Amino acid sequence: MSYGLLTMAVETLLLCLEYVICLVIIVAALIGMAVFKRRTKKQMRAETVKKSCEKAKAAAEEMLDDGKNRSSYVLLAASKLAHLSSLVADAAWYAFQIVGAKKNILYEGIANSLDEVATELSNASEEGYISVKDYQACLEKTLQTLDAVMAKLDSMA
Amino acid sequence: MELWEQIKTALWEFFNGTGKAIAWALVILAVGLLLIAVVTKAVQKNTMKSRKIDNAAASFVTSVVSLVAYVGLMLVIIGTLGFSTESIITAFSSVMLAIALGLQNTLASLANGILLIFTKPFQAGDYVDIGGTSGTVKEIKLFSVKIVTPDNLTIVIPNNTVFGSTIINYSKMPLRRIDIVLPVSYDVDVAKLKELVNGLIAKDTRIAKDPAPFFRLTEYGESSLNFTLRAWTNTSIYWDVRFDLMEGILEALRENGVEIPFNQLDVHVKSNGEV
Repeated sequence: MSYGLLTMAVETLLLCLEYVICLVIIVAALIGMAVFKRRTKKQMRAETVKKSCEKAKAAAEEMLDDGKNRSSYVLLAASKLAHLSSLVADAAWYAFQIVGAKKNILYEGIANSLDEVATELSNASEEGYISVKDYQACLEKTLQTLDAVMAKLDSMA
Repeated sequence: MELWEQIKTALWEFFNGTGKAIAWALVILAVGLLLIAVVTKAVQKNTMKSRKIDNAAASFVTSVVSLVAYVGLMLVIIGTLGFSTESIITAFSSVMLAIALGLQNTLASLANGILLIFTKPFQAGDYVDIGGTSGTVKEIKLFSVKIVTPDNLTIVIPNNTVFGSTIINYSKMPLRRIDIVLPVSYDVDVAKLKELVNGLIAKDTRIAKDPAPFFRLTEYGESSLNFTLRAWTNTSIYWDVRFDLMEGILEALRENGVEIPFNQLDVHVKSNGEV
């Protein structure tokens, strides 16, 4: 085999390799896109909203029990409320996803009430000081809203 | 044989040049679309979840990020395919300039809308006065603000007008001061009047204790002593408290025989040149 032919064969092999790499990347990206869309679609279900509500409810109940043992103030109340606000905002986000993508207006009320509670919790978390009474009132209101939302979701199922 | 050589050379050149560029452009397109989808979703989620900016601003931020990402991707793909991106950018800039000149006012409204969404001088539900137009804010959009007046008229104000006007937000502060000027006769017993009005204020639980209410003689009028009442109440119940106070004070003054002077007009009828 001449040197020229060998060089050509190597070059062809390298070119083929480059095309294969391109193909692999394209296929991987397409698979990634399909997985991402599937995951997003999976999140647009009532169960996802309910699961996030349950998670937020469990956190709120734990915080309420913890708060009852305090007399004047709750240590790290602000950061706890911020965390709870984030959990409720997660549930609101999933509900908004359903409203936006599926044009399902039944979820609009759910999304708005969750969003409102998340905003209230966030505002409360920005206060420098929060009394036990206000802290508990805030958590009780959150629990009431979460219960109402979960009942509504059950009735819609 | 020569034709075969020519075909081979052409194929080699294609696969080693344009074909490779197309393949890499496809790679960039596929990866770019995936990245844009992931990044846009992440931005949308984080901005919507953020309590600092409202949902209108969140969707605007997401749209801008998405638009910038798509334009960037398009330019990278064009560059990979071997076309000059400079000429495209120049042409794009010229088109944008023409559009900007044509839509000057609309773009000013858009820019002010963005400022309005981020600076938040008011929010939906606030009672505001924008350049003399008062009402409750119903919607804040990118180009205009919709307010509903107390007599149920819907007014749409372009955002450039909103930012060019004086904005009074009556709902921004939790407490609002009620100012009532009370004219009473010069014969009034000042101590008794103060006791009467202060008692009335003390009884009303809707009036804030801190800042403390104020009731003092503030002016010697032409035909009355003018007392000023300043009391703080919750902004949301401002008008109810104000009207109740006005009526309550009048009733209390009448019950206690305190006279409120008012302008009187004497009419003299002339008859046969004599008064």
